[in-house]
Amino acid sequence: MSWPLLIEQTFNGVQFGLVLFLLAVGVTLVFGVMNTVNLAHGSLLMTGGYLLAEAQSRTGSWLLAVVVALVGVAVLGYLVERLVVRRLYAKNHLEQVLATFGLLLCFNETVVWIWGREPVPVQLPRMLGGHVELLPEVPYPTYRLVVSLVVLCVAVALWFLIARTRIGMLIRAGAERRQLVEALGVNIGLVCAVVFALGAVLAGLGGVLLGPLLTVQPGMGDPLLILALAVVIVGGAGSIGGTFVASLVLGIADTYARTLLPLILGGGAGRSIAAMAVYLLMALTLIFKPTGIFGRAGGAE
Amino acid sequence: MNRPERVAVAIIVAIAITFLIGDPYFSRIVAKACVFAMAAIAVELLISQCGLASFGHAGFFAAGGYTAGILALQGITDALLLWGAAAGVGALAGAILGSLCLRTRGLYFLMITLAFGQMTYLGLQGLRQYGGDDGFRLRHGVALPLLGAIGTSDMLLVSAIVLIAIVGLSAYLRRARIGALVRAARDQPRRLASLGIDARPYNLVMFTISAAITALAGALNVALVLYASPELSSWFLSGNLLIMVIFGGIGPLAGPVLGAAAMIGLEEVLSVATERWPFFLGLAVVLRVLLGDELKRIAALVKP
Repeated sequence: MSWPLLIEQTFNGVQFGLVLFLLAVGVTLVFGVMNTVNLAHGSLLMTGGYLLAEAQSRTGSWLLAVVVALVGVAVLGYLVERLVVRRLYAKNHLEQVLATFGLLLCFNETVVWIWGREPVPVQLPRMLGGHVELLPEVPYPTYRLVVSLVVLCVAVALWFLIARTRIGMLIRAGAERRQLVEALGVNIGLVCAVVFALGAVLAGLGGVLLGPLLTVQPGMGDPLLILALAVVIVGGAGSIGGTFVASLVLGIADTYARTLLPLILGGGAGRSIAAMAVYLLMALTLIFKPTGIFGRAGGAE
Repeated sequence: MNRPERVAVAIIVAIAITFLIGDPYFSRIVAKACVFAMAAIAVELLISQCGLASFGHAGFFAAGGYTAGILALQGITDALLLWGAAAGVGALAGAILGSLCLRTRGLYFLMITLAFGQMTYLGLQGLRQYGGDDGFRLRHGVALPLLGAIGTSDMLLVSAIVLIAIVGLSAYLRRARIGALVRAARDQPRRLASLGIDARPYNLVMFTISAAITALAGALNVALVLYASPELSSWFLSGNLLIMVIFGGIGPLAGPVLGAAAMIGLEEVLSVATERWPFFLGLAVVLRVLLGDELKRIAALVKP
């Protein structure tokens, strides 16, 4: 294990954690405000990736494709909230989750219908294709660095939106005392739609950013979604700060485990345990703090 | 249908009809439905009695399948030993994971079980010596003491017998003291606590039993198809088990059995007719949830 490799893996871990944050923050917002878990959230990420690929192949412009993808996912998120998710708030948890699971099956199959089962290619813009030297002798892909920077900017903007603006105040109030906010004359339905669409855009951005790194294929967002659920559990549901910290911790832990454990424990067992590392961390969190690191008391109810 | 005898009779009639038809392909589907009905009963037991919806039971299904499969690879053919070991591993995993998951309830419980199910999936994928992603095949079926080898055609009878036993177990747990206690904890946690009763051990026992049943079903499934892969622990399977439960109905003893039979049957029929079977399944689930109350209202209007 050499220093350059360690530095590179740290950057990879941070970058993975940050992208995970994009997905997990939508899950945690929807959990906090609407008190439901949206299993189809990973499908929004997948849609972002596919829209990017499609728009790119049609227009040839990466930037334009990004805009198209984000707007498309926002519209899709809004429609999904209006047509389906809105009607779930009054149902029990099992029905809510199964309905979003049903949505996920529909989304995956629709994608297969339109684009087929094979992965679709996504090109990187040429200016982002090269490498930069982090330290002398440690080259790092420019694109991965840009991804991290973009997500950091988004995280700051999100913090500003939630902590310093009126709509952010309503979102926080809605998460705490939904009925009271409604009684004060706030259109909580609109707040929910905004939260859902916001989560959708962030997930879509995740898909856009991951597109060139992963393969854009049916169900690409689903394993990430389950990882995002682990993030939400570790961070404490409803807590954006907790989600941010937990995303970074789990992202780095996952990347380290995948590089280091096979070296230490040998191929078979090392690889098995490395893949499970994040969930073992989640189990530890549950043992010592069932509400998550930053969770409020009663958050587990 | 809440009486176990009636459910048992219904299962026996269905099996008898299957034997009369005598088509091996059809027999396999019915055997598969029996196996999944066991797992669906286990999932339904937790939902209807404890009020806990698990999205990770496929993990136990795969744990049972891998336990039986790996032991069979070592040359063990005794079905009682293989399935007993699978149920034991399922119970152990259920007790360990249950003591973690049961610290939470509701949506949190659902997310955590889903995450642990995925952990099983990733762990099994890493087992390179057992095929990794691809899983492994078994060359031989299992054998029972005195009766000898069980062919895949005999598996229908064996699974039906085990299924009936599990229906009986489910009925017993509902009537027993533990059933009353976990239902009380589900509906009136504070009152139960004020009576000085800690419901957690009872919930844990129910979770452990449910996990063991699911692992047993997983072992029977491997004996039926002679193949095990990490896909057994896929969260899509956990979701499908929940879909069986919700379509079969929560509460009646026969619900999960009917749900499993309907879903396995429809899957076999529709996946031949259309490649888009998951799409229509998803659509059906969404509509079932969205229109569930309306459907009940319409049913009430139609009733005289």
